[in-house]
Amino acid sequence: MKIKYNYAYFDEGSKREIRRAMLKAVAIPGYQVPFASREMPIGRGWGTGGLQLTLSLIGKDDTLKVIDQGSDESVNAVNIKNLIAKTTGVDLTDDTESASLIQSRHRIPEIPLNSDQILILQVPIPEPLRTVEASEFTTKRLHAENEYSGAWLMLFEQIIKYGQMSTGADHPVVVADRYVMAPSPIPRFDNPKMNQSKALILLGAGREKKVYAIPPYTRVVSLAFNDYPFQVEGFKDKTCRLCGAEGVYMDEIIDDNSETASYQCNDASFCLMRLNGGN
Amino acid sequence: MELDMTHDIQSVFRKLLNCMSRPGLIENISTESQKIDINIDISSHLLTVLFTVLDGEVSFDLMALNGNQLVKKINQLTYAKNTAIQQADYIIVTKTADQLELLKACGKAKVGTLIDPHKSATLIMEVEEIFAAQQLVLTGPGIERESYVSVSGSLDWIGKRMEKNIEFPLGIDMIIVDGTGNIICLPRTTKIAYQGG
Amino acid sequence: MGYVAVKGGTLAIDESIKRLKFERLKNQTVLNVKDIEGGMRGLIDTVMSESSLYNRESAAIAIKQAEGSVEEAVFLLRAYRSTLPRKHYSNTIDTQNMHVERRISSCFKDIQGGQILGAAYDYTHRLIDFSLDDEYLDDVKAWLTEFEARQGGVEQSDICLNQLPKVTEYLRQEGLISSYEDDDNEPVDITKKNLEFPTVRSERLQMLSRGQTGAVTSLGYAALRGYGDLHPTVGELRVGNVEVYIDNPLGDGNYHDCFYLGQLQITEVETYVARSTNNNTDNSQLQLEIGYGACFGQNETKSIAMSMLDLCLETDNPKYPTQDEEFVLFHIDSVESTGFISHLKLPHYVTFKSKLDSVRKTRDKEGAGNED
Repeated sequence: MKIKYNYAYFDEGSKREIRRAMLKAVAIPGYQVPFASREMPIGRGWGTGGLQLTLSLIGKDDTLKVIDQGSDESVNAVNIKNLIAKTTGVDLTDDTESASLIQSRHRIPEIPLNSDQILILQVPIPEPLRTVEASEFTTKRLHAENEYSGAWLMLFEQIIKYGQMSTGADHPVVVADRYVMAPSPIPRFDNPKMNQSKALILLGAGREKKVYAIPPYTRVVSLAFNDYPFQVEGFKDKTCRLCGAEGVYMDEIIDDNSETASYQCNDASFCLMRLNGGN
Repeated sequence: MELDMTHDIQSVFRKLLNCMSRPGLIENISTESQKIDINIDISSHLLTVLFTVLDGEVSFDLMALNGNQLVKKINQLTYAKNTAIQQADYIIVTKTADQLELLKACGKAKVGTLIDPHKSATLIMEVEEIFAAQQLVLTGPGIERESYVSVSGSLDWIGKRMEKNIEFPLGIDMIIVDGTGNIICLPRTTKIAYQGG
Repeated sequence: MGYVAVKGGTLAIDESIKRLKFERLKNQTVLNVKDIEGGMRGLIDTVMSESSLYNRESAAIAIKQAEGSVEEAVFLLRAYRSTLPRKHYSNTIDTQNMHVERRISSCFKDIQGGQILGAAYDYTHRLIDFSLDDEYLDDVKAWLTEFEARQGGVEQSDICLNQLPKVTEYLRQEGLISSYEDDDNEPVDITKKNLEFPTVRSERLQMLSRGQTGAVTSLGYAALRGYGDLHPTVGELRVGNVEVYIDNPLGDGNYHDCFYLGQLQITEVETYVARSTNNNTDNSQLQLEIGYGACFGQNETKSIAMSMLDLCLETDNPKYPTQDEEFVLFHIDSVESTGFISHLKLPHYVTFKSKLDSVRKTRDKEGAGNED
């Protein structure tokens, strides 16, 4: 009983349903469109949402890059890449500029994307209001009524407690002046890249079964107050210990022997490109 | 029929997605649609778009000459169910439909609800010609400052469309196809300005 | 000489996969899939039910591949299910026509057709039989021959096992069970359409039926113990085979123009609770309401728990978590719950670094960092 998998793993009917959802998502920027998320051979929470989007987008002419935490070689990225390659035979690449589709968990690449590229982000929890409201029934209504005081209140309380906003990654944004959206657990550092992006950005949550989108050239603003502006993670005076880059998101490496921390580009392929003389 | 339902449909979808993401951008699907060899009373370009979005999970309605025959054929080819226009997920308006029917289609199309704005209709409209010219000036998400496109035929639908889309996120989205396989998309977020409009 | 990426991840994964295979094979035991299919009925039934895919052979292979892990086997089968094209929906199955193998009622001492105990662990003593370590095929064959020969000596009854009336029908005739109009609305298929709140019953029943056995059981238990407004009795529990038909896809819907596909073994439970009818008058009446549970294979505990949760979820009561449909339905799916929990094992150092940055900032009150 040998079965032959369809191109890009699942059947055309499933792809079509996801494609319809993607078109609607682009037409309603920042709004979470439900889709009938299928089980994938990779675990829920491991990128099945992003994976289903990629598999519904991908074709023979695409070149695919997959990263996790900025790395092409991370276990999750390799796993996903292997599955896609196995079921499509498309070209894979580590080089951001030569990829037509980029699926990523928790980072947006350092090199600005262009209009021939599509970025697919993996999302664990698509609902930006989930920490203040557990019920899906209720959050749908809050979005409908443009009722986001819960999100503002959460940030306000942080300021009262800590003197500033204390979100880590996944700092909520407002899209096209209407929907508050969870940008996925990208660091705050990456939020600005979503604003007026040249590339289409799609976000998929497999377990929660939602897809949403930021069209190119769309206004995306991180939630903040006039007197407490949005702040990204600071890497002042830090340079990459391998390639010397500044002003990029970096990993903190604790040295085995001494107890000092050194810093290294989180975007591994960006670092490699710089090492090899490109910029 | 030599249309590859996996690869050609994927290719057409990417073009549709690109158009929906960048309103005003013109893509062309004739490479794919020319492979169709089915005896049917609508253009192969329109049919290719239908194959890309329709199946047994969605409903449609049709405005065309000899509509009844065509409805049956489309149902047989795609398994999409024919419903009343107010419930239809996809409303197809061929170029044989008259202006009144097009405006009626716009008028009755469902716009979704505030809770579920995605439960809205997509209008698939066929025109004679789409070309790159400065007739319509488009602004909104997906467009850097302004984009320009020209669409043949009466533009009365633009006003009707604007009425439907006045309360974002409610609204209808459009896919426009012409006689040579050009396509553009107009998501509900796009604002259209034009001379005489 | 250019710098190249260190392909550590790929190598590490390859080795891990080999190591996993080693664990499965190191004892040099080559499990025969037929052995699993023949001898692990309980495991197969659990796995088929949670993966919502009825096929014993596939379940057996998945169990072998997963080395008996239910979580992994269900994952394999669900992923396999995703690849199968969905061509037809079956006709509604009337379980009145079930070829019953077991059928009991707790509500009445005796019921029409009798209490048929069938094959169940309920009446065994749970004492491990160590002699099973020494079971031989010849003895098995001899025992089977004797068992089958026995049928002749037992008093035959003229009960027709596929026409046993439902206990519920009897109570309906007496007017003790609320009667409803038939709801012929097409059920929602939750594998093709996202769950929407508030849910309809067909959505809830599907979620429960394919729910993780432990999760459904625990929540049913909680409902029984006081975390739910429930005092149920099992009206009828049936285990048996039902026939599956589909309409001729090219026909015109004529009742007789359908195809027989085969049989499924299912467990079906109808549970009763007494609830006040909403009269707003002084004398409120009690009516019996039915909770429904059904699963592939013989899954009695889960089906009973399912029927209780069905009752719980019919009425929203914020006081009880078992009556909160989002709480119940979002957390009982095996693939979703195990997937999300296990995703915590994935690298989270970017998000952690981001959090660390926040923690440091609030400590130092540096105010460092670029403005947006």
